[in-house]
Amino acid sequence: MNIIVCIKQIPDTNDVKWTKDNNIIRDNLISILNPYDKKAILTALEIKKAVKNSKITLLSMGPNNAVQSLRYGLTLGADEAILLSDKKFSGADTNATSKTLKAAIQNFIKDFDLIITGQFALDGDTSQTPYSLANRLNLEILGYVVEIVSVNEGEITVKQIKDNGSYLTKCSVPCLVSVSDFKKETKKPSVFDYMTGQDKKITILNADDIKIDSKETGIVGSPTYVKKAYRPKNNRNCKFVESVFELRGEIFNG
Amino acid sequence: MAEILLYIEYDENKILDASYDLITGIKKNNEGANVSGVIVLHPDFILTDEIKNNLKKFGLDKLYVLKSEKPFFEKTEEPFLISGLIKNINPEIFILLSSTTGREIAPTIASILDTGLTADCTKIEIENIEGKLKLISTRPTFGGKLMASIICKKNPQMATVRVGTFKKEEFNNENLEIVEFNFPSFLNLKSEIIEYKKNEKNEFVNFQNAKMVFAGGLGLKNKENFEKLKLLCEKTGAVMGATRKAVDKGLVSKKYQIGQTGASTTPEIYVAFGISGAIHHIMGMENSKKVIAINLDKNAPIFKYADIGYIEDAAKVLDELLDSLN
Repeated sequence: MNIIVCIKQIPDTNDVKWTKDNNIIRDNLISILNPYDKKAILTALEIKKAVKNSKITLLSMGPNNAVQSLRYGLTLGADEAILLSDKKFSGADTNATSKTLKAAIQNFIKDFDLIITGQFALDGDTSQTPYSLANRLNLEILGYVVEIVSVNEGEITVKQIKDNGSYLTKCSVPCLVSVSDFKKETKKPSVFDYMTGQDKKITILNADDIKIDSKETGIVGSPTYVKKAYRPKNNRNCKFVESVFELRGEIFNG
Repeated sequence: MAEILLYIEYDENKILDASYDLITGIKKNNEGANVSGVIVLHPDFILTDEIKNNLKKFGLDKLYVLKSEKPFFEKTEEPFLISGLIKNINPEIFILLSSTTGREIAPTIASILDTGLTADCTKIEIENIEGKLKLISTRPTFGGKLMASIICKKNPQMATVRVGTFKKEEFNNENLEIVEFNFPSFLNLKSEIIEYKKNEKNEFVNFQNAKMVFAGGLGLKNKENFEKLKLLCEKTGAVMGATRKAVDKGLVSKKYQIGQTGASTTPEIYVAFGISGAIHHIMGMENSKKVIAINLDKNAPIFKYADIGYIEDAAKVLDELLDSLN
């Protein structure tokens, strides 16, 4: 089974610092692999264990330093990685991003049975790219997946948890599976994993390589744009009380 | 006339309150525009006169009814039906709730129509510029540390809106026009739902109309304490809330979650029991009128967002409050 895992490298949202104009200060910014995407990689590894002769290809779009996250994914056990990196891709919204990923999958990777993504990315938190990508590739998507119940070469069965209930759904491949992170994952690569991970191949591709018209990519190809950005204000001044009696008064008597 | 289309969401036999809230929220600020709704009728849902009356009462002008042969919990073909409708009626704006359903069908529709979509907005502004509507959707990004106001260059301009952003109100709305559309069910789905289990109570918790919200965090430590918090809420008429961390740890059901990827709330009084004040949570409660925080750690960030603080073990305070009510 050929599995593509789409991943995103994001700034550590606990560590973002801002300029006066609300731009991110990129110097010394810590970048991490989006945690939901780590779950996606681990899910792919679980499937690889269950289905013989499986191959995991990581796919990401981002600046050149996103190879860090791809390399990390390779040390976790993925087989190879592709980075889509081109100035023409920058400033992409989810619409342009999904078109770019689609071009890479259709024109470069070609053969695949399963695409796995994380449900959210913690920076933008839109959860839109998986759906947009699935639709552009005419694939059905299984979203909010919390567990792979069973899988073989031709079919996958998953458990999904949504607002209105839980689902047990089966789908023949090819399809797209989007995983949400309900259980915290603790797997860390060993020294041996790091060593083997260093030898695996990362291919870097630009717009021409994946045969996409630059009118469809980046800020030019994005129907949405940020008009303004601001940081929420907080004007409260906390007064401390010393007893439950006082606290009760504050809660129930105004 | 300019048209704003809303996705009307329901659960078995009831329109979600959050959908009524959305209708009012949009109608109230755009009385010059036509506010329409689209509902996909599954065979197990009946559009009663009472429902039609409610839709009208809370501000809806027109309802497009599409039919699906699938059971109500199967939404896979809805994006295709709705895209078909949108191509026919060309609304300038299309807004959905950011429930899991809204967040699943909206991006599929946006990609079918090749338009832009802003996710999980906490503020919606619509400007009328010479008869043309412009949607300005504001949403938290970077874990709530930055608010971004986003514009869409194409129609329909799309957004999903966080539950709790609006509150329903009654209007003197005279008419609700109902238009039925019949699209053939053309999809040949590969996926098959083998089993569906409804959540025991799958309606959203009604944070919008809450006067008091008592929310618990990891400082409450165990399920028992959340049961006690629930009891305190029942005795005092407060609505219970929780942080994502408490939900992820399995201390309390996800429907109580307040904050980013949960609901927003703006009660008169918000009490935080053992909540440290992660920015994700703050996003969902910072507009409460009075915030009271109880936490053992005097340096907990929650105190920066509180009017009244009490440095104490929240579980112990909970017991004492319960005792004092007995």
